[in-house]
Amino acid sequence: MQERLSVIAEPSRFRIVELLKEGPRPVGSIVDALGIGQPQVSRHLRILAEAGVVEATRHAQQRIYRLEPEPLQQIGEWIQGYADLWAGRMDRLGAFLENDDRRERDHA
Amino acid sequence: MPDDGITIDPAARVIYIARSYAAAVDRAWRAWTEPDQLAQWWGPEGWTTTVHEMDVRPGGKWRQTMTPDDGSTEPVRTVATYRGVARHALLSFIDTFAGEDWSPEGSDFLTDVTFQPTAAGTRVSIAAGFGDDESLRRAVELGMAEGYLEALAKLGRVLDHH
Repeated sequence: MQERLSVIAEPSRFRIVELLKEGPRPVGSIVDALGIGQPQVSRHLRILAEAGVVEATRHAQQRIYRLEPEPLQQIGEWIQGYADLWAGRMDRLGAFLENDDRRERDHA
Repeated sequence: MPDDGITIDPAARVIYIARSYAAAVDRAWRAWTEPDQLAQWWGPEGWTTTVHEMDVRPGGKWRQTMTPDDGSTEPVRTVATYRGVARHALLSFIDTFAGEDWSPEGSDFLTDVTFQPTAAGTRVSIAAGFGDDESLRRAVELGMAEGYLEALAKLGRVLDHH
């Protein structure tokens, strides 16, 4: 998970992932969209593939890259966990404010 | 965000959450800005929060330790720097996990807390996350994510038990 986040966090690779969210693309199209050299793009794609973030299929003479769904799901789950943390905190704030209110009324 | 509830924006890695409370704005504001009050609800359940410093002004620090009551894991230290402070309206801070010597462990989590008076009391809205892609990249590059994920997993387990 951490390794995948690190892999995706590199700026060019982050842009590749964002691009592939729109759908599978051949390498040439990724090179055009990123405006960096094919060797660099190929290197980034290899790193992404090794981390299990993307997978390649050969179609005619082209390699088509697509996102593997699972890593994105994991990141989604992580964000969900973060949201749950905040939801619990906001509930506790509500309970605290209510108790506080009751206490002040009792003292009044 | 018209209603109370949670919105998750995975693309921006930000979550939005809002709640309406019967308490007046000043009460809600004090719950966030007075150490002895915040420590009572910050949580999570089963953890004790100790606020060491809470200097609520732009550039001021907020340092605290969260310790599991059952001693099952190490205490989690966080240090935040307030960015925007508008009494009864806005509390904005960046926080990071910190080492035993309070040196920041790298990642920036941005949180904006907005207080709005309502007919019934107060609406508190949170925007929390990495803020933008660049912050996420920086956070991960600085190697902070792992510690945070571990801390979150611990907190998540604790929350699941309740």
